[in-house]
Amino acid sequence: MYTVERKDNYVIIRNTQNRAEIEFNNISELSEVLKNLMEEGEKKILIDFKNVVYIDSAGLGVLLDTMKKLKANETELGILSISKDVLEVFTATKIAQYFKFYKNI
Amino acid sequence: MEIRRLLVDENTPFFNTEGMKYKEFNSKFNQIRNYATIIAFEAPASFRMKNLLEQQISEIIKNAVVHGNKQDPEKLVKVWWSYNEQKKMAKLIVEDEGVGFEELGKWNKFHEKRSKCFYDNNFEEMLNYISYRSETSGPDDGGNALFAAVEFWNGGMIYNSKKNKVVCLKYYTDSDFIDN
Repeated sequence: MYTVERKDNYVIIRNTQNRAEIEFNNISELSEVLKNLMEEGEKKILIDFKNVVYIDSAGLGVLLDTMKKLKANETELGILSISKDVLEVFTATKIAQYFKFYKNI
Repeated sequence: MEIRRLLVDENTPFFNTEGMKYKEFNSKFNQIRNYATIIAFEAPASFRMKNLLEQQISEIIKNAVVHGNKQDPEKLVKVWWSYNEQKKMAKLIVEDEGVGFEELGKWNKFHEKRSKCFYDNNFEEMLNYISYRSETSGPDDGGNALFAAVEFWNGGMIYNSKKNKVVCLKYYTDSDFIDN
């Protein structure tokens, strides 16, 4: 379950669970939210990873695919408040380079 | 009846790590799934079988972290992996710093009896073989992860003589790619 809120020029997507796990069986929810925001013409999107404790390879794959589409649409996709452990997954798989990471905004 | 067994062969050419990716991980229990994500992410999408590949990688690393390195964060788990789309093959090697899987022979015997119960449809007897427990099993050990692993890694799970290092081979068939 995701909520969407606006702050300054950004749209922030937040997972409402306390310990969210983004994986193959729920990644379509996030993917749908991202798709809708892109279709609405949003240009600066942040996903809040504060509550995300785990992301699997399917989740990473969808994020990367979405990133490519957003880039073609000149939309910026950033990740907010990611934990050290989950960031390591992005770094080790070498996809960190495609995202902007923010501690907070 | 074909019963898969855990094998021991120090000299198997499958321990050759040439061309394989390599990474070392600390033995932190709460990081095991993240380690599996890192390794599975590089697999072709069709190899992932939803998240089955990731689960199975996770189980092998979990054995190394929990049973091998006893969750000592200073001890390393060394992992090599490769994916070959032409050969439709995934290969994983995991090594820990522990004393080795001393009960491997005992586990094989247990698994053999368990498989025979399945084959004979002897459900009453099968209740005695639901999970494998050893003296080192903890309360959180399900005791059956290896049963699934030995089926998934259909090319074999081959240990070195010390039994602290295992190479796992998965050959994909067309049926693995259905609904994938």
